[in-house]
Amino acid sequence: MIARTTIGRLGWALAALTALPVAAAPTIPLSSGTPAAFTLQGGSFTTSYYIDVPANIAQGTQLRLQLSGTGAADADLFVRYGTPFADRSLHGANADFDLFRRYAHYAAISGTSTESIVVRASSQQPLRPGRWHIAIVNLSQPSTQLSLTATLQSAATDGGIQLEFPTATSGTCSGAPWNDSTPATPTGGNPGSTLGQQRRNAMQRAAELLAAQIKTPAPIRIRACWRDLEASATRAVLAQAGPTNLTLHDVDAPAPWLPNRYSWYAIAAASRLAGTSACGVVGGACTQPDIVATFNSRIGASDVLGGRTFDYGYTPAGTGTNFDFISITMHEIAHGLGFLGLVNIDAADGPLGARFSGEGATGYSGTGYNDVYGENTAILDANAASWKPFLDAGTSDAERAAALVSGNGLRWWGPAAVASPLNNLGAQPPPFNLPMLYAPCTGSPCAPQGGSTLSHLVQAGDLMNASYQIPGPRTLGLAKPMLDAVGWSDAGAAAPAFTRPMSSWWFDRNHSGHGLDLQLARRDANLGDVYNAIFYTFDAAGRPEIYISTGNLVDGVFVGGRDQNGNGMQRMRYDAATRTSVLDGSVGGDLIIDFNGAASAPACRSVAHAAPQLGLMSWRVGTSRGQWCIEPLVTPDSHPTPDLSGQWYGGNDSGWGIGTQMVRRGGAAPFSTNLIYYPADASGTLRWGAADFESYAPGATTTVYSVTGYCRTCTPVATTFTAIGSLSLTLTEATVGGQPTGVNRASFTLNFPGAGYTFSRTNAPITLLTLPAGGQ
Amino acid sequence: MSSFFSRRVRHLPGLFAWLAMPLAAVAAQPEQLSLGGSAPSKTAAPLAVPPPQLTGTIAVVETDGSVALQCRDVPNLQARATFLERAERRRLQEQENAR
Repeated sequence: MIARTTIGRLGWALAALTALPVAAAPTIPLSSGTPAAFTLQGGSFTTSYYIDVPANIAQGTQLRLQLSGTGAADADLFVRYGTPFADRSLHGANADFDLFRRYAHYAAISGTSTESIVVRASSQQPLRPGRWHIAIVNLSQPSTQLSLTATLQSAATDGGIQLEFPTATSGTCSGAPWNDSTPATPTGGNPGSTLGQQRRNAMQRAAELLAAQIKTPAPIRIRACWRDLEASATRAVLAQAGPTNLTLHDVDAPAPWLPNRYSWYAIAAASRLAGTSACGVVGGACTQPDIVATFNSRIGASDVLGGRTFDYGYTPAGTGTNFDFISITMHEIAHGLGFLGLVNIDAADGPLGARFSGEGATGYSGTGYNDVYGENTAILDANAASWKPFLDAGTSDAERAAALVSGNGLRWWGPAAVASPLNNLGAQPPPFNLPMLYAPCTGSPCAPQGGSTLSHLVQAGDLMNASYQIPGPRTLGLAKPMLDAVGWSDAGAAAPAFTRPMSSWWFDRNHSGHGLDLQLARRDANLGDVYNAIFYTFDAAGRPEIYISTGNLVDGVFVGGRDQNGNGMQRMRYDAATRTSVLDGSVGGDLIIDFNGAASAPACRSVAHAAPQLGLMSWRVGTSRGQWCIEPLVTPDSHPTPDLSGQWYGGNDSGWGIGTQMVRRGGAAPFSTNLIYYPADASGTLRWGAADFESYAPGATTTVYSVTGYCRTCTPVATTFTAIGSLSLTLTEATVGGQPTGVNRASFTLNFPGAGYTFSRTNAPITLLTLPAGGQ
Repeated sequence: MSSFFSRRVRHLPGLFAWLAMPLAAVAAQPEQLSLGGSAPSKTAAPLAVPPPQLTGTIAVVETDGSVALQCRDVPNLQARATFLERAERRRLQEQENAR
């Protein structure tokens, strides 16, 4: 049944302590293999279904969830292990699509009502005993009849490789050569009696050979095309291929099933990891293949390459001058599966060694993301007998560019490939045992060899060698453990561990002066611990302003709870008549902070990685947005005992508050730094001021300063401080919630410059809104 | 007591009919809530961006008549519209941020 909730009181007394649980109790257990049929109203969702995976499941078991709908509806499927989905936000608003994305461990969101998800022991959130919660969302308007089946299958199923042979020409893709009726003599075990048959047979054989070496729940879809490509008597393209799309996990577009965050994956690999199809991963119609392979229809013409043609034999020819279609096809498809480095190797496209951003004329403008292939690549320093990661934050474009033409300095450090018996360098001492990637010095000065450098092996006889070989290989060879590292591994995975951010003030080194007062407010084992976040920042004129957000920590991601207006971060206004604050509906925002793997995010690349934790903070205020890399200002081990840090408020005397961080100082009294949030004018505009106690003792008084800075999207300037009043704090005991008893008190008088308004309190009782000692 | 009994008897035919219904027809129906947000829509879907290059195999006839095959990159020209569109979106966002 759907749990009832109250709309939390916004304001300084944030909703955190008043909102009721908002998770539905899932009520309908699914029996393995038994479909549940139901009608889902348009624009609605259900979280009623679940399946319990028993403790005694056999090794290799997989869970398959299948949702089937009727008509043109768009229904989506979400799965979460352990704890339930939230039905409502902390502020009582019904869950929206985004909230399901935040809670889902897996999601299938194609534009249809047929979705499937397969979870295996090798999945990022591995199949294991316990409860798997299911949410279904109907984004269409009409009601939709749906059928949901959860099946525990004793062995992994294999979707194989599905080939699409177009029958007509579409754009640059011609299908006619697959149906060429020119008689042909069976060759090398290929029984086709026409050229078209032989071509299709050879393509099918290449796909089967690959499919036998890689397993994936949803079929890998390859569109096989012919086209007139570059061709002359002395030079011709034989074939070309690539993934249709790349995808990644980002704080604003979560894909938690990808092991590496903020890192590009080929869509086929990402789909495999997601346990669904490509359209299930990224949405939209399910018409696009994962890979497009195009063959040159000019090959075989008498005026091209002396009339040499493709050899369609199943058995590789030991000698000869024709081109082994099957091994060439397997090689190109392997690139499409993700055997593909994405850093720039062409100076005409941007800086050599630059990461791929997917923006600009060639895709290399701005700050790019890592790619999972590059994250397994290493730069070898032979003289120092050491290596460093190719995409380490401390490795520059220039260092990568040098490695790309180093001859033997570009390596693969993925452990499975290094340890593989197929690694020809395996007997060498580390780090010389790292498999060598192709990095020739071509021309003068040296330049990478377009299309070969980085994404090929050097060792002889391997399918992914940079040079063609006769006989053509029929196995992936060393490419198999390398592909495993980019999303194709069947090895059992450990359940992921998620970061618990410390209660502290967090700041971004690139936006000095702005910050986030983030404090644990309440434990919630079901929906994720509740944190209060106060974004102390500056408005367009550089004046201090605050936004507040209360949200759950969902698998290491703070998700600001959305209100009825759809905002996950709010601006408040003080209401003097009621001594509280009210929602300022004129502007809303959002706040999401990813504390997992933020170090890989572009915004965090320049940040000192000595920080004890990092968060990638995605904020929105109105239509303005940004991604900041934040780190804690004060760590828990710096606090004194007793620790009176936290967010303090006045109970019924609400609408203002004080954020305190205390720092231990040897045997002396602690240093205490404070932010006071207060109404600065008669209209109730809430601002923040700063007040430090160099040596704090209860009852001490200090000066409060207003800080002038620069807007969130402006070029940073030095902040300036103006004295606006005084603060006296008597903090003796970490009392929490309810009405303050009076053991903790605050006195202050504040006059924001130019406002002609004074806000003051004398000995106002206060109590903590957040957990003592940050909940440590 | 007797009136209670008689009520049960009266309801028995209905009860039997109910028991005879197909199982699916009486399966528990899920609780439903309307989606939040002003207009239910998909947000925050993972990115789908085409790669900058495709890979290709090229054959070159050497001066001695032999043929060398090597891999090479093929600019993914169709992707460039997407890259430009993404850059334009970023520019517009930056313009919005600058307001």
